Amino acid sequence: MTYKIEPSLEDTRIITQPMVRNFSTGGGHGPSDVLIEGDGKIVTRKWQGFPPENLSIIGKPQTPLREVVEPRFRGTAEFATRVRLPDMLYVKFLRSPYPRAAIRRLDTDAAEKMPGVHLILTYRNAPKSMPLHTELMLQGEIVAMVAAESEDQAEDAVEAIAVDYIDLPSIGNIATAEASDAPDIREGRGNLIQMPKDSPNYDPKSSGRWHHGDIEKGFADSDKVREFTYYFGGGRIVPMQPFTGVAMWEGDKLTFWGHGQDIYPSREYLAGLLGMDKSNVHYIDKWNGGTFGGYGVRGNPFWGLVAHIAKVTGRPVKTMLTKAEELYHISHKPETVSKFKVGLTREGKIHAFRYEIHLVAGLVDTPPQHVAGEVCKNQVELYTARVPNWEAVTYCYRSNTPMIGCNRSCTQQEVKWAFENLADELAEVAGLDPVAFRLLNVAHPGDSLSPATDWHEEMKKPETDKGALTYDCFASVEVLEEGAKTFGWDKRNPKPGSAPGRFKRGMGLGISQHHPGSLSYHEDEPAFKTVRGILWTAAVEMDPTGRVILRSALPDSGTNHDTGMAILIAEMLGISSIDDIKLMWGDSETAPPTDQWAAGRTCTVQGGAALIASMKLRNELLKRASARLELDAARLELRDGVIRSRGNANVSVAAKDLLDGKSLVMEGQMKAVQGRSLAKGVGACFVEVEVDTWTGGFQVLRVVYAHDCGKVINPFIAMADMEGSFMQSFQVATNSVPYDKEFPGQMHNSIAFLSFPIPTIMEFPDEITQVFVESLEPRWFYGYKGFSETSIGSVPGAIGNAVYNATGVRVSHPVTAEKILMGIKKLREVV
Amino acid sequence: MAKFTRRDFIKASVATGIVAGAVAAPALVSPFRRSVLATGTASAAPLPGAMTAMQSTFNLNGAAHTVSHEARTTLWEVISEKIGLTGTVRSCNRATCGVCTVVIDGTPQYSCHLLAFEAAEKPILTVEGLGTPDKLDPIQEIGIRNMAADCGYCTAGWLTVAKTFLEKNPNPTEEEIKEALAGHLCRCSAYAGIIKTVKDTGAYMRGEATL
Repeated sequence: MTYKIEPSLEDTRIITQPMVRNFSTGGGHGPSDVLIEGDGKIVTRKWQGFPPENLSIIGKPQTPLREVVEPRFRGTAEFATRVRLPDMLYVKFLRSPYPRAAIRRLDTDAAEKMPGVHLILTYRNAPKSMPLHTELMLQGEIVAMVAAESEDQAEDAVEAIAVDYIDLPSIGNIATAEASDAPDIREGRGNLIQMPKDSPNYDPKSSGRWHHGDIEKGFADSDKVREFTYYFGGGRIVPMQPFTGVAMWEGDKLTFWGHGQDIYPSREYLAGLLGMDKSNVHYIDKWNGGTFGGYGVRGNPFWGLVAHIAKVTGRPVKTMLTKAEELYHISHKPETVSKFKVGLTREGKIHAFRYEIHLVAGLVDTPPQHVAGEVCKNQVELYTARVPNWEAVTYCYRSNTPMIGCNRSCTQQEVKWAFENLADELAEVAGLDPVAFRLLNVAHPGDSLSPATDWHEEMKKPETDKGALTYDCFASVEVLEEGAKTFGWDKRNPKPGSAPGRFKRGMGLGISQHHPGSLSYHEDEPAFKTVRGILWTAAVEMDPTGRVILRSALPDSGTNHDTGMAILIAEMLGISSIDDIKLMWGDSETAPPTDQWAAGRTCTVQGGAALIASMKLRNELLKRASARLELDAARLELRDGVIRSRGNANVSVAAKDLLDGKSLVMEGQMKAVQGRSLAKGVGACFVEVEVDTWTGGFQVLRVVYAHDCGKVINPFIAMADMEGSFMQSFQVATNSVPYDKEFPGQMHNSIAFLSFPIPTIMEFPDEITQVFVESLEPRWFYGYKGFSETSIGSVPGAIGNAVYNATGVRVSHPVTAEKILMGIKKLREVV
Repeated sequence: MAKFTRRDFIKASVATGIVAGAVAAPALVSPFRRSVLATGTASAAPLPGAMTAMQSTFNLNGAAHTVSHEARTTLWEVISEKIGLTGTVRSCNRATCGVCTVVIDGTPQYSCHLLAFEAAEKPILTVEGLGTPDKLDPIQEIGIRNMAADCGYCTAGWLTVAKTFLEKNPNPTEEEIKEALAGHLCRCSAYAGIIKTVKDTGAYMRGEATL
């Protein structure tokens, strides 16, 4: 009996929520065709007029677009590392080995004379727009760049550069940042980064304070008050592709192959650094080997210097960073200490909640996301939407460590590790099952966020109603209940560590609230004109042969969002197979300007722009067909390039016959904001582990990963994406940044993936099931919303809680065999 | 800080004759090195100096390519940068990730950590050796249908290994598949798709599955 090999959804469970639901507030999922929101009574057509029903292609499992995926398997996908040009030079770096140092002596004379060397850049001859410094503020900061005929020759010359450093006092972790003798690394302005003085969240003693109600009265009125502290050791993702740049000049025109999440911003950035007109920069990044938010337009000058070297030497130049070097340029998750004081009612409801987070942020000068509310939004909000008294305080320091930022999402595990351990410990205090505790305390649809002193900046949305915003499209109950059911949570041993035998199994969960992509406004909506946001553009074209072309200036980092976008426009244009759509992408010469993707802006924002463009194309074609066929456009339908009368299929015209032999191009625009209304997403992770109590080592056996996901555009790619999300978060749970204990801030990165182990195929769990709860976002086309970042924060807490359930041992981050074993020994009093 | 590189090793090993001596302790020498150096006599030829100019012929997917290189040049650099078969990419350059793997005479090797001259004349399979310009190899098509690649950067490294593995073990268990591919890191973690691809390709090769 043979079987056909095709995309399978056997590891997924899709639960579609009703379009009309009885908790609706603000018109979210009410029966009406419109939502009327905000003090201004803004009217939005439900689903933008395109409901999630009778869909022909959205929701079906699809392999990625062939022109994107086949080159990956053939070895022809043009990663920048694969660009090979005649007479190319290679660039290698000399970098500071210290977190903070000054150059005492730098002598490149011997190096310059070595075989194959064409140019050496140092602080002496680097251009003024892209300076290299003599005071070095980061381990890995560039001291010199050597361009030579081969990498080996460039490395030989790097070794021949004579350099002496003065090792300076530095801030490498929270302990050194908060020590009374912490060195000044901010020219006397203090290393504590604070909200602006005119901000309502300004606090003289901390980085910022957010609060609501009366916290001290809240504690006084609570039945039980407990305090907890959790440590997170930092983390980073490292894509497989080395961070790469290739530059080639033809006269005054630069072609640059880059590696990041954008096209036009990098083009503009390079043009600015090189002092040239951006129209002379051709920037290309179609495929890349992963970015995960860690690479992007972030102000480091070395790409500009690579282009400069190419100009000066007259040769194309390529540089591929080593894994050790990348870790200086890529953003990190910060080391954090989270402190909680929580008051519970007798029933186990949170009545008062105080949260304090300490972190070091890298060479920042203004509050990063982690301070300016972002750290508190989402997970604090998740647990305080129903809490009358709460306070959140942040302490964020400038440090000589890599910049903090996104690592497959931002403000996730570094915050949520603590919260999910906390929720389980609070559940124990309250005598509640961990799922039950969360169901009682997390935000539910219908909960409102109160105004005034809390997230007032976030409240300033067109949909704000008397200063409040309300949860509606938010499947917090379902991800918990359906996730637990799918997982078999009822079989969990309620007494941690009590199972007999050497190998002990345990179950744990975590929950995570995050943004649902950047649900934004399209060009026909009133808010498009009034909100502050960046403009995104996509183009959809029909060429004279009738072929549809999607033009999108974004790279594909393995995101496969272009396939999602193709599915969306195929639905709009009645195209049955997405491989009939031609994609022009990742190149500043083939698609209109758009921004950098991040924060779930691919299908939500760029996909939205593409939808608007395709809607315009469809409307124009129907208008022309209506004139040609002398029928009302409402009586016509478009399918696979033919427009037919709904009443009589014989009455038809081919779309290409309406084009006058010319391409018909439509552009669509979106203004990207961090979500319209109170757009949120939520996910939960359930994990079963088996711990070997003789070694402390553990395996993840089974996972159920539940997501609040709007309407899933392509469950096959979504499933693969979420498997990757789980594994990457598992890696974050089990290791941290290898800072030296004796010399904080000094990292040991030199042995590549042995310095920062990532899971191998051996660690992949035997069973991993995705639960997609289709919450059907009512404000957007077809009910879809983003969920690439929704759930990832829930994983480390789930693993830590599962280890605790198995052994009775709760470890700090990262979760390691040594710590588990130590904990087991302590429990048995055999240390 | 001390820095020990591949070049230092070669310089040291030539100076002290360590590698020549190591032929007597085969466990320390890669199977490939043994096949190059073992001449059946007690003493083997010493290694050339690191920057010695050489010219070698490489058999890539059945085609011969003669290139100039140095003794220290890695096989990866010859394949990708000199010959231009850029399908084989490089990641860690420290033999820790498997991205640069090619199959030499039926054995997977990390091309970033093999000296090019050691691989001269040996039959090497790279990703370009799979399928034809008009038709994908079944393992490639099956990989697409199983979402065995998100970004695709690690893909060239494991595809040839998986295909070679299936030729030797056409009906593997999941455990055997995982062990065969344990030397390949995938950051996007397409591991589930990769495992399923190897299973389905085995079934296809045995006539138990269709495309």
